[in-house]
Amino acid sequence: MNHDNENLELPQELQDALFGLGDLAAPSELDQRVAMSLMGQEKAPDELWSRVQPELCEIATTHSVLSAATPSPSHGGRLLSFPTWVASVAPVRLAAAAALLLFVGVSFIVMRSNANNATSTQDLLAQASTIRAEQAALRDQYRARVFAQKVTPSQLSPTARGLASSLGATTPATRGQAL
Amino acid sequence: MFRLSRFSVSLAVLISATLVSCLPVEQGAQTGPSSLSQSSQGGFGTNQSIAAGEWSLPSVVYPEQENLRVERHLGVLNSAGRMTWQHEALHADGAGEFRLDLLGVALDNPMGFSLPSDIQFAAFDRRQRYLVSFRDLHFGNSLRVRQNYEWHEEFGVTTVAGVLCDRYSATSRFGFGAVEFVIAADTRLLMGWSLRDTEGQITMTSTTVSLDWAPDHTGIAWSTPAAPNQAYTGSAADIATLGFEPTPARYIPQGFATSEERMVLVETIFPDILNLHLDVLDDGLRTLFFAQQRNITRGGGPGQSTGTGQLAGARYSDLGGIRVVEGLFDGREIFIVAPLPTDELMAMLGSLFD
Repeated sequence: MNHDNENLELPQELQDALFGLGDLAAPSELDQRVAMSLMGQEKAPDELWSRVQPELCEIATTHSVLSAATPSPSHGGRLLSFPTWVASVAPVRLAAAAALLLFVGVSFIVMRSNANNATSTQDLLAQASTIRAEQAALRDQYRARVFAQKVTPSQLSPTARGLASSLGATTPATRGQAL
Repeated sequence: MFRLSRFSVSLAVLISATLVSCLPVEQGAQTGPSSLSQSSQGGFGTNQSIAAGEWSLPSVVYPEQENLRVERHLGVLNSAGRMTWQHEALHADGAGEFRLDLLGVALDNPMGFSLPSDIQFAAFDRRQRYLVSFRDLHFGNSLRVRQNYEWHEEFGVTTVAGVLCDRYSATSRFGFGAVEFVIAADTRLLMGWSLRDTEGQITMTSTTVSLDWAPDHTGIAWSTPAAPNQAYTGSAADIATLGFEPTPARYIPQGFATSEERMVLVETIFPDILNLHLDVLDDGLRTLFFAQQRNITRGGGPGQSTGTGQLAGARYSDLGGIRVVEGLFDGREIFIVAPLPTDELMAMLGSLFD
């Protein structure tokens, strides 16, 4: 399997646009969904985008207003700072662009991560499967050592009944149950 | 094909870092499920479920931690496969004191409760601290909970005792069954829970039926331990107190780990019942008791040892959802009790000796 990243690269226009995003923070739900996708837990629902879009727009608008109000240092040395041209764009358009780019960027990362992690995930699953098999074998090995007689609850010792009752089991109560 | 440049790697890392920095950490553990709940109510309105984030568990407070009085119905599957019901009242002062009383008992359905017998009442009274601590559901170590259970938040809300509640379920990753929770949406009070076995059958369930946030605790005698207990440290003094050195199990059901190791000093209350070494294990939601006691209660007395490294007289029973395995080993009684398949408990017993 090829584990390297050579087959994946952000398109140039996306790179340029992402540079212009500044330090926008993603809405929390988008955060969670992306993280879940990264962990392979849950695919984001189709309507997620329509729900987070207004929040993204709001964040982007707020950010652009703040950026315009606060003179920022030269962005030459900062990878994620607002270029000058960004502040000149109408806030709504910026918001939409930022949201779109962020979403595309996130999707790309998820896609890239999934591609890169496909093998390692399979490895992990294989390891987990091996561990479970080993655990099951160990259980069977130890289980086979015990020859036990099935009894009714009332035939158990008072201490055993007391312990079971303390975990919620209903058992015949006797004097010996100190627990 | 695109070729990945150092730039795009940096960019991806930076964006990932930005996203990760936004992930809820401690605060998120409190707010994550709620935000999911809000979106679920507004966006779907179906009964499907989604996986909750790995990093967040539902925030919850337990009734015994608050100043309140709750009444609840608790159903327990018995060994005959029928559901026995208890009507219980819990008083708690919010400062650590509580009392759990048995008000009534019923069979098959939580209606038509009759008064408990004196024996039932006394047994319940003696055991109330254990019931609150070990029977009632609690989230254990959060890492263990997340490792061992897959979490879901159910869409929509439900009403319990007039309180709007969120619903959650957690399914064991190791096939030990599921646990369901009902948590008040505003106060995060645990209002109910159910335990399902490996076949999906409910083996124990608890539902709050009334809730009083301004309780009158007048005349309440707060719960006290039925027998003194203290942490087991493995010291010579502890070994002398027990009369033996506990043997560790080499097999433990997957996902379980010790949460408490204590000595229950029963002899101080009942001179003819010996002190007990109690290892409490859990997988984050389910509790397992692994107890050892010098043997005089079975087999004729302390002089009748089974011999070194030998197991004798093993027996087991299924008490509805709770399974029990006990046996004589090395002059000791061994007890393993848990809501787990019997084979898991047998294997644990079998791992005590070579």
